[in-house]
Amino acid sequence: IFLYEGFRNPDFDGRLKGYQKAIDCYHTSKDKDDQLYGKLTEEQIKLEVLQKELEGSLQEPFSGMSISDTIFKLISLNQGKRANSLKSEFKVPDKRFWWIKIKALSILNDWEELMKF
Amino acid sequence: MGFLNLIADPQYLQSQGAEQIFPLKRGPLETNCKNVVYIVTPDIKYMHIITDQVKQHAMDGLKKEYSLVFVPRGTILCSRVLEEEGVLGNFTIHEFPLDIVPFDEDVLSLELGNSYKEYLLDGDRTSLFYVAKSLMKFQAMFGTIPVVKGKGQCSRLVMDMITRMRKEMGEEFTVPPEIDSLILIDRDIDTVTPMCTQLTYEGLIDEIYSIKNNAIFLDETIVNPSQQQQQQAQSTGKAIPPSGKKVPFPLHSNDKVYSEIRDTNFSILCGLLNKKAKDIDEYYKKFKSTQSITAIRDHMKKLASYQMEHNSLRIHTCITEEILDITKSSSFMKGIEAEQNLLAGVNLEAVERYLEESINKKDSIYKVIRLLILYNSTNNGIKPKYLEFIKREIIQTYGTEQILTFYNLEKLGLIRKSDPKPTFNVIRKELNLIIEDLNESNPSDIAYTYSGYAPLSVRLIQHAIRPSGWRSIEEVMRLLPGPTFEEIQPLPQGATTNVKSDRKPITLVYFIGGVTFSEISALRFLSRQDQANRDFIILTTKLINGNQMIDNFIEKLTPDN
Repeated sequence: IFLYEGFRNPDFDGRLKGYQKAIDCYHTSKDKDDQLYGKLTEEQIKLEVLQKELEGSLQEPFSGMSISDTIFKLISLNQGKRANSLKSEFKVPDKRFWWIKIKALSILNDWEELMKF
Repeated sequence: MGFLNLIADPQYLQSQGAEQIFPLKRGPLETNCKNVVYIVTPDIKYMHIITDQVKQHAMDGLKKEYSLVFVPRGTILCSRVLEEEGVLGNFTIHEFPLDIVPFDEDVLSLELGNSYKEYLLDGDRTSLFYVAKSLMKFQAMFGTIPVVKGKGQCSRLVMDMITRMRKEMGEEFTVPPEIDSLILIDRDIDTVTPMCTQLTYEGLIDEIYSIKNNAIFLDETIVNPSQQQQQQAQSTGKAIPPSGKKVPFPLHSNDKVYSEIRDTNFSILCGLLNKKAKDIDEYYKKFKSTQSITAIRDHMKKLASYQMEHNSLRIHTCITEEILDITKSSSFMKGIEAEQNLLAGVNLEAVERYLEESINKKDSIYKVIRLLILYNSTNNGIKPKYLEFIKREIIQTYGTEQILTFYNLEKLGLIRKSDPKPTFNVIRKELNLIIEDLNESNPSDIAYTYSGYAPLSVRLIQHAIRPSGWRSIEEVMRLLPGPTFEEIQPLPQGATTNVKSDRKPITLVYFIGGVTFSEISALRFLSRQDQANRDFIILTTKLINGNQMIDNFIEKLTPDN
């Protein structure tokens, strides 16, 4: 429920507080699923903080995107390094990362980079 | 275009004195009429539109009289909205208690899209109450239905409600019974079928264009190509470019061509259309070669109907072409292959690979969730480790709000951790759900609707109407969720059974929680079989496909308009 409210809060700080409450809830539960959800919500906080940073440095909107979408956008913006760090930060499996990368590069028509990779 | 068009078409309203008819939409309503009638379903969204329009009129200094007709009934919430906005006093409010909406000769629906979710997720029984009420109404018109069979929690509750309502009513209907049996069936008995891609013509149209209130939206150039454009296309040899404007095209059994092809498997459709085209062509040729006046007069009589058929044939050919493009694509084929593998319980690894690939490519979330639910229900759950992996993949790809989607799905048991009992295997074997070497052009089993898989729900109905009933498959019935029951409703005195021997017995089938077009096709097929020898009338809370069914559970951040 906290999570539900959290997502709908347009204010950045308010949203984070909502997530934190949800995480606390999840952690008090012994259920393994809830533990997983707790972890994933923590990732969401990390992601939103990161997105805010990216917005600041790249002057592009990132908020509201999923992890895959963020990586996709970073590659599209020629920010390969940042994309890589996101990959390791959120433990994105190689397979999915490649898919994202191929898609992004082919849209960019960056065949050179694609060949290298 | 709402379902209102199904019961009152614009011509009828016009004949009753309506001067102008507007579909309700945002923005000011510009009309010179003094009386304005709003016909709406009770939805707060609409209330706001209406208040805005009324206020606008007041600002412009226009004096009008407003009426508001709620279909099927008004809610306190809606009145409150109007009250808070200070416009309630402007309205004369009526209710039009339309609960059962007829969709076709044999299909009726309550159009309660959320009933499945409301009961199972939120524990809200309102929609079940409507189901019971609609059955009472049916019985008031066609007599008490002597035999009732049912399966599932909701069905049981509905049955109890009917029994109570009958007692409370005291007086019995004295109409002789015209329907000899009723089968109540819960959607959650069979969550496998709606998750599969429907492969009948009508089912595919629904999957691709999504049929809303018996109509689909097609490009204008397909439905009404103008003369000029046609000539142009003929002279240049180029196809007419799509105009981008969408117009509604009705799908109904009044359309002769459509009623013949709607229930067939898509793979044989081309042949059928071809034959039909030849028939019409032949007719035109014959017409040209006729000499005598009487023969011409005879032909003229038929000409109109042939022309209508011709037109609908042309449109259906266009639709078929578009669908063919999609069904031939490798991604569609791969999806079907994955579904078939799951249903047959083979080659699970390939399915898992496909599922991951779909997520990685970020295919539509509907597709992914549907496949996952199908995976879950055919494998009696998902291994915890794999489930955790998939959850992570989905949430990282589609966004963290999908945690809430999983929460919903888990609560409903549509996704759960595997338990060791091979339930679905037993059901599949006992009920003979997978039919190999199937002849699609001359099918002998309902499995043709899904190219080899017989929809579980319809198979249960098939067993129910046999003399031995569900007793012969007791083991399977125990494996399916919810109670099974069979009850005899005592007939009131004075209403003796006068089953006319010249008519097939009628069974009313009630799908609580929705029914797919393919299941309807399968039932129609069943009634044509000799061994069944009965007609079915299908009643449901909503006509659905897999996407609509899971739409209620998928969490969306942006509220849909």
